Amino acid sequence: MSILLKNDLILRRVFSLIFRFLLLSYGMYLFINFGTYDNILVFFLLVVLYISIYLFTRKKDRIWSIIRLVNDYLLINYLIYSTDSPKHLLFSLLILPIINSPNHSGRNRSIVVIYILMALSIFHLNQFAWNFDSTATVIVFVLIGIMDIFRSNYIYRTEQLNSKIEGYLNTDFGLNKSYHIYRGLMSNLNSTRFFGFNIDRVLCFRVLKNERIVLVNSSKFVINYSFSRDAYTNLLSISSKNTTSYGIEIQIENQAYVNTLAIVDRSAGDFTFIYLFVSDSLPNFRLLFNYLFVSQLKPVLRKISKIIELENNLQKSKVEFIHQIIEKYYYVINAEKALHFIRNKLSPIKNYLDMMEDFEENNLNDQDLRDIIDSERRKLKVNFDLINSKANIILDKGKNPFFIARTAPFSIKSLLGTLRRIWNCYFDDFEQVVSVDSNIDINTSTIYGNDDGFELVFTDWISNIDKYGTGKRSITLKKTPNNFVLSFANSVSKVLTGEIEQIIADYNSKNKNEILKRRRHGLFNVKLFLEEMSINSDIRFENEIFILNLYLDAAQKKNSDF
Amino acid sequence: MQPKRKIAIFENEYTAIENAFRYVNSRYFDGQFSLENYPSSQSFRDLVKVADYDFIFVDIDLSSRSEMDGFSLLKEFESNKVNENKIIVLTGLNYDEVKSKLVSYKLKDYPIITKPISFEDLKKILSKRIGAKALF
Repeated sequence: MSILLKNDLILRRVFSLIFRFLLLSYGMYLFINFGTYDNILVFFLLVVLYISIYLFTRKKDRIWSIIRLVNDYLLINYLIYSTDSPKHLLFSLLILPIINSPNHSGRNRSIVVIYILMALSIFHLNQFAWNFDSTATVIVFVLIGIMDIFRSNYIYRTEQLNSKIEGYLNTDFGLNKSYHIYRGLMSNLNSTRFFGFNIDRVLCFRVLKNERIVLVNSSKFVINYSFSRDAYTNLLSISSKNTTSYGIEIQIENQAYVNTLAIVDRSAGDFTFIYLFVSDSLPNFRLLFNYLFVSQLKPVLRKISKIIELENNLQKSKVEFIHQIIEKYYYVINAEKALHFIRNKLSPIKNYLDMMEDFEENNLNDQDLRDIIDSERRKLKVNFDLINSKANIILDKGKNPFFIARTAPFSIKSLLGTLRRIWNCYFDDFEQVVSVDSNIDINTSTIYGNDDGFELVFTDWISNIDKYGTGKRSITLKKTPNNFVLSFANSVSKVLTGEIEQIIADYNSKNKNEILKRRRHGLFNVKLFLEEMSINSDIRFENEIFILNLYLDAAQKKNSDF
Repeated sequence: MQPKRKIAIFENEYTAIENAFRYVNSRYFDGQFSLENYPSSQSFRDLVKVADYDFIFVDIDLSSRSEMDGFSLLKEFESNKVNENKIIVLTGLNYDEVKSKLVSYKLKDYPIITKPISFEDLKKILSKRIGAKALF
């Protein structure tokens, strides 16, 4: 059940309670003013019984909702019987359940029962005599009631269909599994005889460039399908008009289906979708109901189209990501191969040294052994050159997928966007901690940088804040005459405080970069990445706050395309 | 004159380790071994006859033209019931990686020598095997 339907049920239960309170109060008013005190004990017992029955049946459905109605009308009829209330007041009392019927908390509103009880009560009010006015009143109420039932059923059904989408989104089916929605959709549509037909399967097609129709997914797995030329043309024609069509023949697994309904949805951006409902029967004479069926389905299909489109975009991103990963993977594989090669070629070096040591330490004088050692020495030169050329492959920065030295103008807006996305992976207070100088126009200001480089720097630094930070943190972006200064500030744990001076001295030193490069420390990775992008940086420790400043060179102004 | 003992070395980069074998043979085993190199699995015509050798060194990464890699060769030897004490694995990969792959391929627990190798590595393993009289 969707959240909307759940909330609706709760509201109806509350209104039902209020209605009973009003009914009882109104009844008491009539009894006190128009009843006889001789009957007060009976009335009192009846009120107790009424409340008890109501409380007992309050949250129950089906037959219990009818018992609640009978309970209401028993009280009403007792008041008709035991008081001399004016007729119009009693009439008002007995139509109260009708007025309240839209709030009926039972799932299947007992429409027939409520009007029978009302008619009987009016008959009672008229002292069991037929009366034309009363009959006309009952008929009017019945007609109004039927229309209301029709409307609320329509809304309820639509909401139930929407709940199938909600159910899908709340279930972890994984990517490209939107066909699961159709199962719920079909069971919901088939559970009512309202539309007069049964849906066997649903197929979703995508129209490409107004000339090709391809199957996206379906409620049952389809291997082979085909349309006749006429059916294909018809589908293409309706797809450009955003309309519906009945009886489009489709062959599925070599079986022909003619009882079909095609509904076009053109709401999902670049694509047009056609949903084909295949039925065992689609009676055209129920045009009104079919119209209702389509109008009820359209908003639901629109949501399904959006989901399919989203899944499609995610799939594209996934493929793009895999392409990037593959490049990196190949680099790692090549580096691994190169190291494997180097290991093999190091054997003569290791062996030569061991042989020399053995030969000299033991004062050997064996010409055969000397010849072997000489042969190994000759190999060393060749192997050295081979090792060197392989090392160049690994150290060739151009082939390194993590090469971030190529910088380009990068908008401040993109920079903040990247920063927010990464920050949100660790903390949830970006808006509270970030502060941007009011004289910076984030829409037009640009700096030099590299997308991957900023990803690496921000991820490394923010993960350090998460690891060592103790609560206080802020990000500021200021403008100076020559550049922008992006500063990260955070309090640090006491464990780190002891070594902080050394860290700051090392980081800010320009003389030991090559030494620091080989340290596996997040802090120096940040420095390495920033220097690759030609971004100056320093760190400071002021008032127990650790600060990283990035000095970002302003690029030529241009319109942001972020 | 006693016939020479034979060592089969399945290795495609034999030049890198050849002198280590020659040195250890000459220096410690009086040249009693005859060394035979096979850069690919198919270069040893009939693998059943590998049982005639006293030691079999198998490199895991053989030539790309080889029909079998080292693991498949070991599997073949096992199916031919070659004495496991004759077999020694050579590799340029990590020791642990090869060890775990031996387990995952359900092969026996052969001794592994990782590259770069020198005659010292060979001396140790051959002395141990011969000293233990496992084969002789």
